[in-house]
Amino acid sequence: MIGVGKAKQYANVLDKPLSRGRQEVSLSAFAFLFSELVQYNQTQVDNIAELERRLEDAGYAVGARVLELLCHREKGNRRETRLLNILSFIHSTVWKVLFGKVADSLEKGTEHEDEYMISEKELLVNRFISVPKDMGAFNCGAFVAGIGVLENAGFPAVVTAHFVPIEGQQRPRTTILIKFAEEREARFG
Amino acid sequence: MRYSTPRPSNSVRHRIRFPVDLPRSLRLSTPVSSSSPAACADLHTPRAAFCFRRILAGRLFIINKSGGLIYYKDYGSAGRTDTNDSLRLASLWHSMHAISQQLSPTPGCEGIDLLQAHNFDLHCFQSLTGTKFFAVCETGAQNIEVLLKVIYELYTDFVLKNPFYEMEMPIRCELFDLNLAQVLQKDRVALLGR
Repeated sequence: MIGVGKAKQYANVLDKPLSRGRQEVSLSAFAFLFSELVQYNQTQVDNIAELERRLEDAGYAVGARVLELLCHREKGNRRETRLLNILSFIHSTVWKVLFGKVADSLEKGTEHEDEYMISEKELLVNRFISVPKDMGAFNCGAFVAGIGVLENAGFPAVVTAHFVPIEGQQRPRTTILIKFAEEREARFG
Repeated sequence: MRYSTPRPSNSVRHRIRFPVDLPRSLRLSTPVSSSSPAACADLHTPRAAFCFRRILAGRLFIINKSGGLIYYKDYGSAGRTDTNDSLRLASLWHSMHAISQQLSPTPGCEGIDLLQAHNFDLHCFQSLTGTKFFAVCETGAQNIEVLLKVIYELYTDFVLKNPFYEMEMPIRCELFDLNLAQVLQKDRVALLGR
């Protein structure tokens, strides 16, 4: 991700500016790597729930690093402590860094107070993936749901990825459902 | 059987004309009169999209490197072909393609890439790994070579990058079907302009 070619050589890593560097990475290379990740994990599990869990675990470390980096780079070493703020931080800043665009929508669940949803018409990791019928509702977005920005920021939550069919469209969209743990109720608002 | 002059490149391909009547199972419905090649020179014109749609009366096969049929789609051709027939035809084509390489008088032949019969053309595109994409369509249909390459691109995207696809096995990928249908039916020629 960091432009190696043109970058000035710094003797000490601390002298380097904390710039964005080059933001692009080959989509094909990523797709192949991700495909291998899923294939490898498939050989290690007996059932789909376990595969989902393994993908979530693989995503977890991404969140820890991304949160650390972005708080430093974008927020002047401050971390969001309000629930809505951290959600919009994920929806815009984190999404932009990870997927090159802001997430399609951020909604509050209608049935439960503590549920929020980030929806994406076509999740980047699912761009080339067709889940076979016999795997049911399995969604490779589990990797994205596992990216533990919220957890690391002090908002324990259960995050899951689901396919949601939309009317008039052949492809379902992916919704990342965020359900906050109860002890955080106090921070709402 | 007659060979046309080899192309001025290192890899020699052959164009073989079969002036014979083919078995009924290979025949296509009423041939549509062909449009002039010049009309399709520029792929970005709406005219080119029209040419693309003409493959709709035809068949598309994808065979793996050992000759097994991994994808078959019929676009409104006349004779009915059941699954066994299509499997047989596909592996026969694989063998013929291999034989044509042996027949070549010059080294470096890549096999037949166009077979012309009285009432249909068979266009074949072989990828570097030996996967063959071939389409039968009415005579004179334009740009089929380009279309086959677009289908190859879709194959690399939506089949090979899919973690649930097993190599050399029949293609059952929803996204591949969807995108293929889009390329063939709608004016998705913009795809070529990327």
